[in-house]
Amino acid sequence: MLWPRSRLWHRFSRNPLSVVGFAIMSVIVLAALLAPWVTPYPLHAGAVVDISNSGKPPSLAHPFGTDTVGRDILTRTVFAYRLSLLLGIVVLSLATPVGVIVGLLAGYFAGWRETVFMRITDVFLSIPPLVLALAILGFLRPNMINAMIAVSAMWWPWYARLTYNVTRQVATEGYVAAAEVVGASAFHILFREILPNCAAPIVTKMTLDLGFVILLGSSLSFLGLGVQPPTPDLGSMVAEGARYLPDLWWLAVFPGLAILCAVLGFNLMGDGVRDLLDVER
Amino acid sequence: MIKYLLRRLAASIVVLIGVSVLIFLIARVIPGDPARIALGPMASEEQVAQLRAALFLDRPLIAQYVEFARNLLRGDLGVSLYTNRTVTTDLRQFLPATAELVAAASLLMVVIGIPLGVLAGHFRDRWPDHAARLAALLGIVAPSFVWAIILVLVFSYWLDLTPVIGRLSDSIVRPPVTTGFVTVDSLIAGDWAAFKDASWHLVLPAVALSLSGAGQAARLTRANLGETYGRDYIDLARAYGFAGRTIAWKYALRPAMIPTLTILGLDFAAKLGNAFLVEAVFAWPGMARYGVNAILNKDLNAIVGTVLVIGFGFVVINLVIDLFVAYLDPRIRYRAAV
Repeated sequence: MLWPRSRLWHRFSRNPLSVVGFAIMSVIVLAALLAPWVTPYPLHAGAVVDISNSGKPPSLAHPFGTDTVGRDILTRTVFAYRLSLLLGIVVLSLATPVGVIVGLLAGYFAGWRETVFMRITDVFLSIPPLVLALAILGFLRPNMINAMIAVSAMWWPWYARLTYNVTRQVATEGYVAAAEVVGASAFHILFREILPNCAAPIVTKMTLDLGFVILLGSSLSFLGLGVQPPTPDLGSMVAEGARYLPDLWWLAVFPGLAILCAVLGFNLMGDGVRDLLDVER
Repeated sequence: MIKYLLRRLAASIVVLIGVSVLIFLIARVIPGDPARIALGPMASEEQVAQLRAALFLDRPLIAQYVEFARNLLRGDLGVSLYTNRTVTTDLRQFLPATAELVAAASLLMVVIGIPLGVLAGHFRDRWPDHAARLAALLGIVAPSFVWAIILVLVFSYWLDLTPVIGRLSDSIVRPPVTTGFVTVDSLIAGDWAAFKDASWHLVLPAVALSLSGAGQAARLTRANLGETYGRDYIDLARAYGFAGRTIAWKYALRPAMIPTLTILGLDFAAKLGNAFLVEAVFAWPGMARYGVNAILNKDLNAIVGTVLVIGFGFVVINLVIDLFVAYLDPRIRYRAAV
C-alpha cells in the first residue's frame, strides 16, 4: 500500500508532482465520500430554490458563489464529484476486463483470432471516442446509466491494444514455453503466466484513465446527453452556467476548474504510479 | 514506396468497411425499432410499418447492410427525418465550418506544441522546462469546453478583444464560397476586411480546440528530443562547435518530429470529437449542432451520416500522414517493403 514512511511511498514521493496528485486525489475522493457532512449546504444538491440568494458572487458564505436559483455552487460541485467518480469506476471496471481478455486472446493465439480481434479494435479506435459515445447515446435515452454504457463501449479497445502489445512480448518468454511444454491449459497460460506481466501497465493506465473518463463523462453531460438535472454534474453545470456569461461567470468557471483539478490529480498520480511500477512510457 | 502505399491503402479500406459495419450495427441493433423511435409513440402501427419498409428494416440484417453499403458508395446517406433534406446536403452545409475549425486547430497545435517541446527539451530540468511541462499538462487535463469558456470570458468579455460567437460579423458580407473555409474564401476574393473578421472569429475556438493536442505534441517532442540528444551525432556536432540553437533546430528536431507528426494524425480524432464541445460554446455553425440535434431527435440517417463522415475523415487523414511520414523516414518504407 502507498503509506507515508513505507518504501513504496519513498519511491513514489521522489517526484513531488506525484505527491501533489496524490493529495488532490485524496481530497476529492474524501470530500465526495463525505459530501453530506463536509459541504456547507447539503440540501442544495437537490432541487432547492432560495431566490433571495440567487446569483450571488463568490463570498465567504458561498466560496464558489450561488446559481440562478440560489444554490451553493461549492456544495453542488462536491456532490457532482460523486457521480464523476462513480462513472470513472464503473466504466473502468466494465471496459478493462473486456479489453484485457480481447488483448490476451489476440496476442497469444496468432492467426485468425489475432486478425479478427485486432481489426475490430482498430475500427473502434478509428472513430473519435466522443463521437462513438454520442452515436451510441443517440439511440439510447440520455441518462447516467446509458452514458456509462456508451463510454465503456468506446474505452475497452485501448486496453485491448495495450494488453495485446504486452502479451506479444511476453508470449515469447521461456517460462511461457515451459508452461506449454508441461501441458498447462491455455487458461492457465493466459491468466497465470501472461496476465501478471500485464498488470503494471494496466494499473498505470487505469489510474491515468480515471481522470480522462471523468473528462469524457463531463463532455457528454455538457452536451446534455449525460446526467439529467437536478442531479448535480460538473459537465451540465458548466453548460448551464455558460448561458449566463459573462455576468454570472462563477456558474461555469468553478465547475470547469473542478473538472480540471480532478483530471490533473489523477494524471499526476498516474505518473507517480508509473514510476513506482517502473512501466515504460 | 509503392508497395508500402498499396499495403497501407488496403489496411485503410478494411478499416473503412469496418467503420461502416460498426455504425450500421450501432444504428440498427441498439435502438430496437428505429422506425418506432423516429416516429415517436404517437404514430400508428401502419405508419411505423411504412417507414420500416422504406428503410428496409423488414429485411434480414445482411440484406439491410448490403443496401446501406450500396447507397453509401453512391454517396446517398438517406434523408434526415428532422430537416427533411438529404443528409449529404446537410453535411455539405455544416462540414466546411467544422473542417476549418479543426484545420486551424491542427495548425495551432503544431505552432504552439512543438516550440514548447523544443524549449522544454533544450532546457531539460531547468525552470523553462518545468514551466513548459506545466503548460502542456494544463492543456491536456482541462476539457476543451472549459478552455473555451475561460478564453471567451477573458478575451471576449473582459478584454473585449475578440468576438463572442459565430464565424463572421453581421456587418460583413460573406465572400463567395469556393472552399467553404471563410478565411480562405475571403483571401481568394481579396476581401481583407472579411479575412480579418473571419480570422478574429476563428482564433479563440481554434486555440481552445488545439490546447490538448498542443500539450501532447509538446510532451512528445520533449521526450524525443531527450532521446536524440543522447545520440553520438549530436555529440559530434557539439564537438565541432556548432551553436546550441543550430543543434536544437537542425539536428535534434528533425528525427524527433516524426512521432509528433503521427500524434497529429491520431489526435485528429480527438479534435473532431472535441469540435462538438467547442462549437457549442461559440455557436460555431458546424456539425456539432447538427449532430447533437440529430441525437436528441433520434434522427437515424443524420446520426449515421455524421459519424461516418467523421470516421472516414479520420482514416483518410491518418493514411495521408502515414504516407508523409514514410516519405520523410526511409526506414519505415524499407522495413515495410521487405
